[in-house]
Amino acid sequence: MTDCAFQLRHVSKRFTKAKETITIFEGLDLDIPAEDYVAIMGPSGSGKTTLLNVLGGIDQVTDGEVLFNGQRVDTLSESQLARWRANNIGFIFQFYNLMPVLTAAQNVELPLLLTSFNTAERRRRVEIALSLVNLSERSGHYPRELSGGQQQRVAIARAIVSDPQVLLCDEPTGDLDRSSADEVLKILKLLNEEHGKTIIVVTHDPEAAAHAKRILHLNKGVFVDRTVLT
Amino acid sequence: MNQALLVAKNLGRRKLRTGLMLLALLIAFFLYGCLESFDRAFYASQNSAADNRLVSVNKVNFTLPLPISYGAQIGLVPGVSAVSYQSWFGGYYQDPRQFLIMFASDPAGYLAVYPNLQVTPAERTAWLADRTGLLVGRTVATKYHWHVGDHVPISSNIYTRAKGSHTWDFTISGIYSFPTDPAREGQVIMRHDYFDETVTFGRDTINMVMFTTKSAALNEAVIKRIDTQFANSPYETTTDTAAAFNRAFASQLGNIALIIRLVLISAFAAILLIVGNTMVMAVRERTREIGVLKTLGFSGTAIMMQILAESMLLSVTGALLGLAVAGLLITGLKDVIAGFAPGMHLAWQEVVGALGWAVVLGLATGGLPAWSGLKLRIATALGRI
Ligand SMILES: Nc1ncnc2c1ncn2[C@@H]1O[C@H](COP(=O)(O)OP(=O)(O)OP(=O)(O)O)[C@@H](O)[C@H]1O
Ligand SMILES: [Mg+2]
Repeated sequence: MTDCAFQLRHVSKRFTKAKETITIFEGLDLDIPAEDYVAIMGPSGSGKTTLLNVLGGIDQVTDGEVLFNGQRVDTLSESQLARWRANNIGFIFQFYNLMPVLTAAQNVELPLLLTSFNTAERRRRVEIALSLVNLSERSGHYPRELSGGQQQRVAIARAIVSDPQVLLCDEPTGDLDRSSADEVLKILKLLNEEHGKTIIVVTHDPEAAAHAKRILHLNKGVFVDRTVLT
Repeated sequence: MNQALLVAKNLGRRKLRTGLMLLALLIAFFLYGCLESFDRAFYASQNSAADNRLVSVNKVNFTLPLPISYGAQIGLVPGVSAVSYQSWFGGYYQDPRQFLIMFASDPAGYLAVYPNLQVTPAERTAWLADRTGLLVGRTVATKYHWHVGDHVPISSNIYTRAKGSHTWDFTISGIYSFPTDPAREGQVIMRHDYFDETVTFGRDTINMVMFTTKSAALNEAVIKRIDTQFANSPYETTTDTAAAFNRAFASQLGNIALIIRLVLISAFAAILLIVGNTMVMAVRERTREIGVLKTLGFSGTAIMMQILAESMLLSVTGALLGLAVAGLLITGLKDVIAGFAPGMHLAWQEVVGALGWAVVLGLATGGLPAWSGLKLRIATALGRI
């Protein structure tokens, strides 16, 4: 079963605030094979973001196990998780989350500061990543000088520049118009099909979900429906 | 790009805020540079006295007179190697506001007691030969553009001449430097025989006997011998090392060191609060970005170091700017400063001290935000819009 990128085993997630305990999932099981492209849909508050955070190691599970390529990651320390994320996971957010003080190229280069690549190699990789998202001519622009769709493509370049195996996307087209959204979705599909990236995308948009290989419907902490598209 | 660039860019994102913080730091370190170099100049001149140089003054108060004969009598005390004496002249040049630190002294004795006073042999000979001759410290000569051979009129706000005049004519015999005690370059020395011959009162009196012993080990015995010798006379003496006398004199002016420290502590406390608070706000508004950096794989430690580097860069820049302004001011006002703190200048002691404080301030102002950056949970940070 090590051809699974992610495996969730009886995962529970509860938030305790004051005296109240909110249960998001209870005993959730999920397998995501390598090179899969999964869309996760569900009503607001159903725990989609929380699920992505758990997969990306930026939120802890309350119970159960999270495995990546067959290895436990829920037991890693915070600094081990940081290194693991840098090597294996790319994140794409709804609101792009670029550094406003850095140019597009510098934003893309950011994850490479954690590697031992020299300046020339870093520049080469930044150029490749930017050309993959069709933004080579915008490399010197600051985020405020780019449209939402362009900013999101910069964010995708940043997510893929260190060549991670998995991309976790939280409503990547949620803030974009149709044509910008389609451009982003085309790039994600290309990354899945041509570059073998495992992609997990949370979305409210049925058209976005339609690009995936399968759709999981999350409601009240359980997968209520599974649609296989291909 | 590297993390240093990221740090610099973060500092530059709000130009006005960063500018105001720099200004606050600049003021604090400007004060530091000025006050510390003043302090150093002041105490250097107090402690520069050779340890075998002693002074005797009137026991009641050092402004009261002693008979001039005390000079010769002290010269006879076993262990004493050279003797001179001086009277405070209360001199000024042209205008009472241009006051001079001026003493009347005996030339041969003076040159013997202060072997580190540097004049050319020709100047020395000229002073020994000319009763109206004047030995002028380098700082004073520069200030009034005096040269060797100039005739200068100098007045006294204490003494009058026989004809009712207050002005004496002098010829400048020499201009001296005093490398071991630059404060002395701010003084002017006239001959006591000229003084005695012309004043209408105060003749044959002096304010102080300065002398050296053959060795500092003899100081105690010599002091005891002199003060015992003049005990129960109309003019009892108190004798001490010149260094101790200088310190006692300084403490009469008030505890300058303490005042300086209090001013600096208040300035730095204010800066700590202003810059510390601003840093907290600056980092708080970047909460989301810090969450993103952590998501990308930057460790909590890396974030902490970035924030500390930012506050450190800010305080070190502020310190260097403050020192630069202090240095320019001290150099620009050299002539004015020479009047009360001769030899004052910005030196490596101030630079090292300021950089040390800048690092402490950088750690203190960056500490809290750096800690919260280290501890910030990603899910929490990304939840905030
Ligand atoms: N730190 C937290 N403390 C307490 N409750 C939390 C916390 N984070 C999330 N929750 C709760 O967990 C539930 C799921 O949140 P989550 O953000 O995963 O939902 P979502 O499916 O992504 O919703 P949306 O579609 O609106 O983005 C919500 O009820 C939310 O209020
Ligand atoms: Mg969400």
